[in-house]
Amino acid sequence: MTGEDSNPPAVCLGFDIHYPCYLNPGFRPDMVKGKRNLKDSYFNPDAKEDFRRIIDRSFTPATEILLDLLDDGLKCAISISGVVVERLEAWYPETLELLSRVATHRNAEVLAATYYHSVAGQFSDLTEFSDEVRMHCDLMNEHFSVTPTTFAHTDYPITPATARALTGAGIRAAIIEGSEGAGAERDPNYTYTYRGLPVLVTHCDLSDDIAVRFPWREWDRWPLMADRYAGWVAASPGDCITLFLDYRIFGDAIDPATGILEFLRALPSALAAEGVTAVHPSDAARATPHGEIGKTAAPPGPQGCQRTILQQSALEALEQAGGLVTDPEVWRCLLDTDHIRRMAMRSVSCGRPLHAVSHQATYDHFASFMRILSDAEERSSASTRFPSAALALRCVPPEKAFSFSSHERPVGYAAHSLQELASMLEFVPDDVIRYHVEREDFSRWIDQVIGDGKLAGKIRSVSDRIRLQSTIQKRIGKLWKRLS
Amino acid sequence: METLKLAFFCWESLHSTFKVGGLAPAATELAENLARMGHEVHFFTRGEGGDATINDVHYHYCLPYGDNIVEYCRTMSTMLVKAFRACDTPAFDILHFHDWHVVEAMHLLRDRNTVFSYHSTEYGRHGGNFGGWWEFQEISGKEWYGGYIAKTVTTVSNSTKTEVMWLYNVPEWKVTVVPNGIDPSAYRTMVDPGEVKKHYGIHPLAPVVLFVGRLTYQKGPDLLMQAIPRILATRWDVQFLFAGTGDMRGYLEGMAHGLPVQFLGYVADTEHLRLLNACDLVAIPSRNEPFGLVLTEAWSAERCVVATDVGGLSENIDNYINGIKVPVRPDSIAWGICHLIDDPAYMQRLGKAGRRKVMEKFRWSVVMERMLGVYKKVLSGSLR
Repeated sequence: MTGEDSNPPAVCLGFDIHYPCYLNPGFRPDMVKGKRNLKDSYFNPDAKEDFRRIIDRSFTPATEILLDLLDDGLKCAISISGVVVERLEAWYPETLELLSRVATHRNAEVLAATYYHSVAGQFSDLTEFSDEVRMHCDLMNEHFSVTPTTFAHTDYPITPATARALTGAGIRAAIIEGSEGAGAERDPNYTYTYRGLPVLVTHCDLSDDIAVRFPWREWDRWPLMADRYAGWVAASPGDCITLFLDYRIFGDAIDPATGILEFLRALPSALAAEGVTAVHPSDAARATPHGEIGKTAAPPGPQGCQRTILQQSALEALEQAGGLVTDPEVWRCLLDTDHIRRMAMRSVSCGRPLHAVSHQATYDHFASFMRILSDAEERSSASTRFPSAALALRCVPPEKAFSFSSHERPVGYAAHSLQELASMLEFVPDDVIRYHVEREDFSRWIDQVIGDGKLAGKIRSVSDRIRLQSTIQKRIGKLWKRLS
Repeated sequence: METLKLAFFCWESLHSTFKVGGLAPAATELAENLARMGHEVHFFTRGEGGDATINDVHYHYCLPYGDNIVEYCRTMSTMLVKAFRACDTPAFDILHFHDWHVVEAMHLLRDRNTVFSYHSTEYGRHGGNFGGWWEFQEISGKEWYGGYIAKTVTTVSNSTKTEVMWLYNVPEWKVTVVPNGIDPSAYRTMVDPGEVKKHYGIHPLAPVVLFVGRLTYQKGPDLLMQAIPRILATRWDVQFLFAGTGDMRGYLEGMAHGLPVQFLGYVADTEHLRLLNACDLVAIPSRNEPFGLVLTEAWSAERCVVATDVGGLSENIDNYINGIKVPVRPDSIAWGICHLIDDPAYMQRLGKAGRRKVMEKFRWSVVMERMLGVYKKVLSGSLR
């Protein structure tokens, strides 16, 4: 495979330009009594200033460098989320102007993405996912007059369903992440197909040399120089190395004082000196595929990707909330992958800044997230036909959640909605059910927290797991029917 | 190589009615793999019922008796030798003895081509301590004598080799290291980890740490138990499963009060397999471990391990490459588990690297070749 005289691989360089809707961590429901614009209370109120800072530190200098490099013949790809375009248009049109010079440059390829950089691809219903892909395509068309055909699918593993949805939306290739799911199966340096869709797999080690290890003085390769890095790329076996980097790495996540911007400037010529050519992802994807990946179907359910309990609860609540939150803008901002990423203690970086926090931090983030989602649902319920039904279906923040416990100890998980209670009843140990039934905890919680007195009355005397579950499930079905 | 007629002496096998420890799979699988190669293998062991041929290995059973373990092994040895003599025409080429229980049989057959395997030592079984009671002395004596009269000796790891050289003055040239083999394909199955966890009332996404082994002082389950509160201080949702039973169980259950720990007792092979493939991390907190079959089992299932830096574990694990080695202390074990448990991608990488190591070094085909090399040396007399 690798040999002294083999040609160096090509390199596919991509940049992910996004600025998430950060939450307002201090949000409390009583803060917004009588307020009209909820978005300001839910999300970081200083977003405009914060975004300015990132533009000054990262977007502007990096883009200026990139423009020079493109003029010199570098081929690269960028993905600009819809949120960023919207915000730049409203707040900093001159930066949008600068970015559009990149996007419309003949040597740049614009990638497709989800409009809100969202987790919608992980839902069982992919309508939102397809909608966002289409919205994003339209936006790119409107602003930069291009129709992207390569999709950046890097925040969670690709599934047969998302691959199908992408093909349906006119996407002809995808960049997928090399650290988990189907991407981790094989050597990342080749083009593969996944259910017929050509895919490029990001090279996590080489991505993280830049995104994570670059500023580490303890690293035995520090300081990393562009020519050395280019040597590593050139020595890699395979056809094409795909790097998909968070744009904020250049100047914001990694301080300019470390020389990261100079690294970016020197990289293309260093690569060229090693005989490595830069290509567009859409061109790399046209290469003869090296095989089909993802053939051995991952076990069904969420185990295919490695989620935490908190992430699972949040994702379930989010999908439900699609039908409950009346302001789609608020819901879609909550879909941002960044929120879910922060609910794990360590997430795979693979081209993104390092994320390693304590369990407390993930829990705090989860708590504010659920508080906001729950509040949005509560507020929306008033405008539905059956407010009580919408209320009963909402999720609740951790302080109101149903924490399972036995005589001896808490079991270690909690239900944040009626639906989650029903699904957790499937595997809760028998002694835990007995304990809660004895104390009438289930009916009390449903009555006092969820606010469904009727269901509470029905299950008060039920002690059997199956009957508890089916009664609750039936009631949920009835409530949804009432809302539709 | 011409085919050999081999006699195995071991007090337990996978195909006898007696309770099975770690010695049984090691000896039985070696015998079966040799038989598959075309060698004629007779396995002399305890068991009820008549002689049987299972997977090409001929089993000869006896039912010993005795007031204590030493006495019991003495009667067993005489019975085994009697059974052996009955099928000694044509004569056996190699007589392979496993652990001290059968040393007295070796004494009776000491003029033949004998190989003695130390799967562990009495000192090691007590967590690296000497005992003053008479059984300890007696068993240690037998272990010394076994190493003394055998034509050659094998141990399962370098550390056991050093241990027997130190304890029993076995000369270096007499000892060859032959690790325990494993059939890696038997340990990797496709299970849905979530389903298995649900079966134990654990949230399908909660990280699970598995301990497999006897609940005895040597295996250090108490060290892991003491580490649990420290782990929970930084990560609240970790769950612990202890598979196996032993004399420490009652004590451990007392310690586990209020902790996310479940004792599964003795688990059947299929369940063991499901657990191994469903857990996120395997902890091996042993105080002394001659080889550590749990390690190669975990690796075969692509699980990553946190193990104490002792014996065979210390020798076989490459730190941070296919597992993490820590000192024999609860806080260090806690550190090792915390270091890994937050990072599923890292754990997967370590597990995969472990599996690669198994394929290189511990597959039966590799191990058996080494054992045959030992037999050949005995036969050619090159040892003297």
